[in-house]
This record gives sequence, C-alpha cells and structure tokens, in this order.
Amino acid sequence: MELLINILLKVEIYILLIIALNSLMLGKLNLWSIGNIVYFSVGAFITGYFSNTLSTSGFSLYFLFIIVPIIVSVISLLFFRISKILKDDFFLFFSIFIIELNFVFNNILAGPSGYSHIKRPELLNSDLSLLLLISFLLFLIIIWFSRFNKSRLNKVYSVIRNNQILAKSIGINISNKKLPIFIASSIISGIAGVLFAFYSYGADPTVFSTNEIIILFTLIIFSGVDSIKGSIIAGFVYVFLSFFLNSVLSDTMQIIAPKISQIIFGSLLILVPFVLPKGIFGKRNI
Amino acid sequence: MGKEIFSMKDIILKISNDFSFSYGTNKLFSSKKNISFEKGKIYGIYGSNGTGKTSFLNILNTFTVPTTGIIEYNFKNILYSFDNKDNNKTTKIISNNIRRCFQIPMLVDELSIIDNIVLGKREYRNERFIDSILYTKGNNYKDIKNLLEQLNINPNNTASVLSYGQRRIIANLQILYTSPDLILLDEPFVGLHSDVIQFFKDEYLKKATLGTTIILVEHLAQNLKNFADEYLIIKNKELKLVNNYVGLS
Repeated sequence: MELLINILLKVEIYILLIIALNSLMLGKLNLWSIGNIVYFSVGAFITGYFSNTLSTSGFSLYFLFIIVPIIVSVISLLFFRISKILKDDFFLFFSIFIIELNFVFNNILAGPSGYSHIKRPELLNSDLSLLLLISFLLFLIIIWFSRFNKSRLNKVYSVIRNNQILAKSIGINISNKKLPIFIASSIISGIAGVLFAFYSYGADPTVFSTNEIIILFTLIIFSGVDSIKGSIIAGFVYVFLSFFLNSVLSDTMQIIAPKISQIIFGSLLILVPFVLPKGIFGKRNI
Repeated sequence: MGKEIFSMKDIILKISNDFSFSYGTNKLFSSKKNISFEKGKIYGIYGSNGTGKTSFLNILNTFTVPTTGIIEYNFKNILYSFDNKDNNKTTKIISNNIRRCFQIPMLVDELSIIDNIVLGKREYRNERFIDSILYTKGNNYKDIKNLLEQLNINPNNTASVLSYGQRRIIANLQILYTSPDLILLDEPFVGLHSDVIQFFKDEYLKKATLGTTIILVEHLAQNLKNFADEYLIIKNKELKLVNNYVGLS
C-alpha cells in the first residue's frame, strides 16, 4: 500500500508538470517549451535551500508556495521577453542554454549530488497527507482546464496559434494573451518542483536535465497534445515505465536498463507522428 | 505638411501629401495631394497587378508603415498616427475600429464556422484569463445560424470542410457581424456567385449608410460601378482620388 501511495504521488506530481507543458505552453501557444524544466528545478532547489541551508521547518515551509511562484514568474517573464525576439529553433537553443545554466547554478548551490534529507512542512509529514494535497490541487487544475477548453478564450488562443495575421487584424493583443500562459505554466511547474522535493526528500540535478524534458514531450506526443486525459496518461506511463526499468530490469540487466529506456522513448518519438499523428487523446496533429 | 488635427467631423482618415511607400529602393506609390476619406462612404481602389493595392491596405491596417508621410485617424476625437510606435495603442485602434477582409480568406480551420464568424466580436477578443475560470455559456447567435442554413452551410462544422467560395462567404460574414468604423476589403467577391455578390454589396451599403467607411480593392472595374462612391486609383506610381467611374479608364 505504501509503495502504491508513493508511486501515485510521483505520478500526480508529473501530471502537474505535464499539464503545464501540454495544456498551456504547447496546447495554447504551440510552444515546445523545454525551458519549463527550469521552473520545476527552481521549485525543488529553492525548497532544498530553505529546508537545508536556511534550516526552515514546520509551518514556515508553506511559505515556499508563495515565494516559488513569485521567483518562477520572474524567470518566465525573461523567457517571455526572449520568445518575442528569438523565434522557433532559436528560442529552443536559448531554452537549452538556460537549462544548462540552471544545472551549473544548482551545482554551485547544492553541490553535484544536490540536496538530500529535505524536510516536509507540518501536516504533510506522511505520504498520504501529501497525496491528498496534490490530488486536491490536481482536481482544481483539471476543473479549471475543462472550463478553459470550453471558453471563448480558448478559441482566441486557437486564432493566435493558427493565424497571427488574422489575430492582429481582429484586434487580439497577442503579447497580452501569451503572457498569462507563460506565467501560469511556470507557477504550476514551480509548485510541482516544490512538491517533488517534499516527495523525494531531495533535489537531484540529473532529474532536471534536457533529456528528461524531451522524454516528457515524447510522452505528450504519444498521449495527445492539449488533452487533459493525455497528460494524465503521460504521467502514468512516465512513472510506471521508469519504475519498471529502474527496479525490475535493474536487478537482472543493470547495465542495459538505461539503454532500453532510451530505445523505448526514442522509438516513440520517431514512430508516433507517423502511426498516431494526434496521439491517443489529442485534438490536433503534432 | 506634417500633422494636422481635423476640424471636419465627417473625415475618418487623411493621408498626407508627402505619403509614399517603397519596397527597398522600389517605390510603389506616393501621393502628391492630401487625400481624405469621409465617414459613411465607399471607396474603390483600382489598379493593375503589382501596383500596391494590398500594400496600401496593409498600411491602413497597421501591418506596414509608410516610407514617408503619415496617415491620421480621428476616432472619437482622439488623434492617432502611425508615427506613434505604441503597439498597444495601435492594437486598440484596430480592435475597436478597423476590420479587414483578406485577399485569401483567413479562417481558423480547427474552429467551427460559427466561431469563425463571431471571432471579431468584442466579447471574444476582450476575454480575460480570469474569465476562463468563471466560464459562462455565451450567445448562441441564432440569426447567423439561420443565415448559414439558408446558404446550406452547417454552422457547427469546422471551417476545414469549406470550399474556397464558402470560405470567402464566411470571411465576408466575419466583417458584417461586427460594427467597425472602417472596413478594408481586399477583393472580397472573388469566386462568388452573382446573387451572393449582390447580397454582400447590399449589406455593405447598409453598413455605409450607418456611417461605416469602406475601402475596397477590386480588379474588376464593373464590381465597383454603382457600388463605390469615390475611386482611388494607383497609376504611374501615384495615388489619386477620382469621383467618377469614367475616371477609372
């Protein structure tokens, strides 16, 4: 039972992160925002810094749910400004640069192995209480997105995504509409990072690499762009596949387990656009 | 010439006498006199291919800036001009006052036909992020649906199923279901049946009688006859306003 709660916790945290990517940045703006892993990392490392370096504990740790959204919002403003100057591939290269910069910064802040023994706040000491909190948060976000996808605003984003000349001609202020998506996506990813640090009692820099975000995007392509159901499936597949490869295969085939993981995700990335162009639950082609 | 605040209330925009537009070193057109556009009038722009008719509309639409000279708008006693680089103000002018029907009908294929028509309405473009949380069901636009059914178009289909001619119809309806001060039409009747053209001409005339100014680009002079009040011709790289159909020849 404890193992199941533990796995579910990880699944729900990754669903939060995937929703921020899939339903906001990719779903509404068609942006392959690999930089979102930075917000996730910032959430986890600030938690580590507060818990271990500043020795914050108890109810004070709830303060992280305010400070992290503020910090990641500021970083997302930087990404937003840059996205107006650098388009498409150039924005992608810039994002990779920021991810690497973040990696270096994390090494300086916490050392190469990151933070361990991160404390959890009062009332969230057990996995079950943490699971209840995340489930509630996820429930609210899913309700919001199901409303969002039916709203007029969602149609406005459809115009921005498909035809910016038309959007401008009917008076849609594209920048004003893009900014809240950048900020909301960063806040959800940042909070997922805080929760991940509480869940794992640590913050390991390798979890927040370019590799990991590419795997998450592969799963989004597989499960469906701009789909809540797709995000949930992607979260489950990611965690269960990692669990299977790390714990089951590692016992017998320790050396080839990571290679198998790369082969599986690499094959998905190549095959899905041909076999399932909309993914399992996607609303549109990739 | 420079800036000048209009005293005449019925002028909606004015082009200065030093106005010109060039692509690099290639000068497309210029005006030697001030050209004023009055409220409630229909202006036909006539010229052969490549003379810059669409470029002229792009300038009015704020997509392009003139090489020299200014265009002044006088909406609700507020003066705007293109030398004002404030993007938000420009967007505000467009969103409140100008609508454009493009040469190639621009629709969003993944949206329903009815959504494509009502996109330009204020309640859509002014929708805020917070409104997505407080979502309430909107207007069901019965009048538009009835009209589409008369044209044998299912309003709930996505725009991707439409033929070229139907896309042109939807693009025109997109304009008609808003209430701008200035309408810019770039060959809006291409590929349409004569009855449908007449229907749209009548609807645009109604708009004009209510005070909307319409600037229309047309290749066929006969489409402007008995429709446009005045004609803007681009000949020998010069913009010139003529007030009779004979002047087109």
